[in-house]
Order: sequence, then structure tokens, then C-alpha cells
Amino acid sequence: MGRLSMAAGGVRGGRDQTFEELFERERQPMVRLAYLITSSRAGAEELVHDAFVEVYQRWPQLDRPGAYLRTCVVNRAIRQKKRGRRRVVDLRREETVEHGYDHTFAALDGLVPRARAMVVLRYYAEMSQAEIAELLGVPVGTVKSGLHNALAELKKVLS
Amino acid sequence: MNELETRLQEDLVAAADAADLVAPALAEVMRSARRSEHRRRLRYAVAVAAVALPLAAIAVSLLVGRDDEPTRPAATTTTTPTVTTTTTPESSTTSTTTVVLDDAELVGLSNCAPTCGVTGDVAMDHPTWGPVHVVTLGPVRQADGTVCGGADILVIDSTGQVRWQHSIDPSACYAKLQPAGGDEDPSSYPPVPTPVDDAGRLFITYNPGRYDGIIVLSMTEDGVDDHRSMVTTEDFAVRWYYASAVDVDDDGVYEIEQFYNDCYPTCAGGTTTSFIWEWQGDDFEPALPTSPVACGARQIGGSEADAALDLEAVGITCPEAHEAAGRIGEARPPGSGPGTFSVESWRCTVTVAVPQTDEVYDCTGPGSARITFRRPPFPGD
Repeated sequence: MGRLSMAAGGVRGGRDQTFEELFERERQPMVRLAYLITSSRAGAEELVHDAFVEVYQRWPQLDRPGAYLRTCVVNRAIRQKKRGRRRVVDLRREETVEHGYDHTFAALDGLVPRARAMVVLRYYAEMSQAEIAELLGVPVGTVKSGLHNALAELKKVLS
Repeated sequence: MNELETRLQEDLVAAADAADLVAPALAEVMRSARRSEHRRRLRYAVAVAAVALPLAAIAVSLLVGRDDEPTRPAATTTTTPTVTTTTTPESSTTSTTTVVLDDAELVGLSNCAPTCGVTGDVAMDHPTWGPVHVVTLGPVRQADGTVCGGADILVIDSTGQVRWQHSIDPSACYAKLQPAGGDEDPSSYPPVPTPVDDAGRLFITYNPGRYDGIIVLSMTEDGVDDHRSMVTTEDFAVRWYYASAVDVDDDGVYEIEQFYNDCYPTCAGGTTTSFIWEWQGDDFEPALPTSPVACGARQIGGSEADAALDLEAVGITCPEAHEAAGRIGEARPPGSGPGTFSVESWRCTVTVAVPQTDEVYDCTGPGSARITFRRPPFPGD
């Protein structure tokens, strides 16, 4: 299990937890995950809030609420990214580039939302390709090729 | 793990750490959940009341032995689709006022009669006009058995007024114009389940006689945005000809799959490839191949300043040009006729030296292009 899963041990867990426990454990990791996919602080906070509301309402029917939550967050983040403008130049960021990660973060904006999500899930959440495939509902091969292409794109931009 | 992957790991963690994010509060989530549940119950109650109250009124009138029949909405004998609009009831028990336009009336509102008929009716919400119906009219079967005729698209508000219209005159010989989601071809994906996607855009399939194309309409505060996809009688092959509405990742936000036949050695024997246009929030953009096509190897010498040429583009420009200029939407599929392009649109390839004549330029591979440059005639030619 990777960084996200360790931080949120219940993600793969079953029903031996209350909603409040899940919420307390997941709320920060989920906002961070959503932010890395959407680049939007406000958007990330809002979509995670909505995802928790959805989980709360479906709580009695969920076998793996943690997994359901994460899928909700990632899908909502991808959708939000898709609907948002892709090529927004954040002038404030350009003026204040002081950190190495700014370049990486900006380079992620060049990826299509789903590829970006794959990169974040793989290298931030440290999920395996099989776990990413399950979360996104795509074949493992799609994840492999998606990551391969995304890395090639990033390499071009960052090198 | 290589250097890039290590950098990604470190930078993503650093970016998340530095973002100063505020996680949601439990109390707020619970409040939202309760509000949402309350709204759901209210909707349910209203729906039940809408059914129960009229039934109760009928039952009461029968019990008190009234001779007259209970008030019912006027029956309509029209064939579907019809435009039915409802105004606010005067009281909770009175019947509603309904505007019904039957097929004949809708055809009468169009400019394509008598060679068209109603092919679809999609209810949408307009930010300015309120509830509207988008009615499509397409060709009808002719006496010789062919399906051929004009077409029209009407946006009608709740008073029955036509707010927006686009017409293909009746002398045209279109084969189809209807809401997407039917038998579009060809496509590598299943048909979309509904003509309106989760981003609120209406997809309409048209066919001027050979291939299907896609029109996309969005309801905007200013009226209707056609995303430069609207066809005319004179020029049917605009932005998305030989294309289908698809939902590649099944997320409810549709993409457009566009096909390209390289017509080599002939169109019948050519290779057909496709690529995907993705919605980027305000417009569609082509999803670029990850490996650029090496079209630079065949560049023709010269400079932009020299290239005062009429450019006839046939096919789809190479991927670098999409990226550089974002003008793929102006490219025309084979056989669709000439188009004039600015040099800037084709920065990737158009560096043509005068007086080259009839240079044919090929980029091969995904999103391949064949672009023909013709200079205007010189005096003495």
C-alpha cells in the first residue's frame, strides 16, 4: 500500500469503522489528492465535501466505503478538470516560481485529466497499476500505456 | 525508479504540502447530507401530491354525484414528438395551460417544408429563455424511395415562440438530421445513451449524403452556441464531418470521434483512422498523439513572409500544427472543398517558398494530412 493508503488505512477496509472515523482519517488525504488532480484548492475542497456527502448518504449500502470514497473523489476530480479550462496561465505562480515542484505541477497541466490522475495515483498515492485500473474502471493495459505516455510527455516538458 | 519518477514523487508531495488546503468539516458535511435528504423527500412528496391530488378531486366529484365530467387536460392526437409546455397553475387544484405543437405545426415553423419532417424533440433548460424544446427536422422519404430533403433546427420556448432557428433549405438532399444517440457510423464506441451530455451540450447527427457529421449546441445566456459546428446548404462539411458523438471514458461528458480517410490509393481503398476531440471546458480540442508525427522532414524551404499563397488544405493537419495553432477545426475532410488559411495556422508546415506551384505535402501517421499549396497566378502565367 502506498502513501495515500497508509495515511488512510481504511480505504481498503470493510465496515468495521464509523463514518466519523472514515471522515477523520480521509478528509486531509482526499483533499490533497483532489488538489493534485485539479490544481484548484477551492475545487478540491468542494468536491471532497460533496464526495463525503455522497458516501454518508449511501453508507448503509457500502461494503468498502473507503474505496468508494476514493473512487468518488478521483472521478469527480477528473470530471472537474475536464470541465474547467485547461490552459489557464496562473500569473501569480509564474511570478513567484521559487520551488522545484512548481515546474512539475505546471507540467501536469499539459496532461489530459485522466492521465494526470494516473500519474498522481501512481507517484503520489503510490498505488499499483492494478489498483489504479480498478479505481478508474479501466484495464491494466490502459493504465500502463497511459502512464507510459504521460511520463514521455512530462519528460519532454521537464527535461 | 528513474530520475523523473523520483522527482514526480517528491514534487507532488511538496506541492500538496505547500497548498494550504482546508479539509471539509464533519458538521458541514452532515448538514449538507441532511439538506440533500430533505430536498429528496420534498421532491418525492411533491411528485406524490401531483398524482394524488387530481385523483382525489376526481373521486370527490364522483362521490358528490356531479353530472359534469371532471376537468381534464385537452387530449392531443398528435404523433410524437410534440412540444408541450406548461404554465404556472392559477391555484393548486386548477388544470394547467398547455401549448401543444403537433408535427404539422412544427414543420410549418421550419424553412424545410415539404421535404422534411420532425425527427426529434429534446427538452433543455435555457439560462435566459427558461425551459425550451430543441426540435430537429430532417429529410423525409421521397417518392422514389430515397431519403432526401432539407433540414431545420428550432429552439422553442414555453410560450411556443421560436427563439432560434437554423435551416437547410428544402432543395438540399440531406439523408439525416436528428438528435445523436442512434445509428451513427462509423464509431469505435457504443452510441451515446442520450443526445444531451452531462455538460449540457446537445449533440445532433447530420448526414448530407455520405458520412455522418456532428453538430453541437449549447444553451448560453446570449442564445445558442453552435461551437462552429453548424452546417449550411452550401457547406455541409464544417467542423465535425465524418464524426460521431462518443463517451470514451463513460463519464457522461461526451467526446467527438472524427474519422479521416487518407484516400490512398483511392478513397475506396484508403485507410481510415480516427482521433478524439475532448471537451476542455469552453471548446473541444483534439487529443494529441503522444508521439508527434515527423512531418518536419518534408518541410519545404522558405519563409512565412514569402508564403502569400492561397492554401488548399485537404485532410487534417499534422499534430504539431494542432498544438501550435489550435486550428484543426478549420481543416476540411477530403472532398469537402477548398479552404483558405492563414500562414500562422499552419506554422508547423507552411513555410513555402514562392513561386512553388502545386506542392503536395504529406505528413504520414496518426492525424495525417495532405495539404496542397497553390500560389495565385502571376502576370504572364
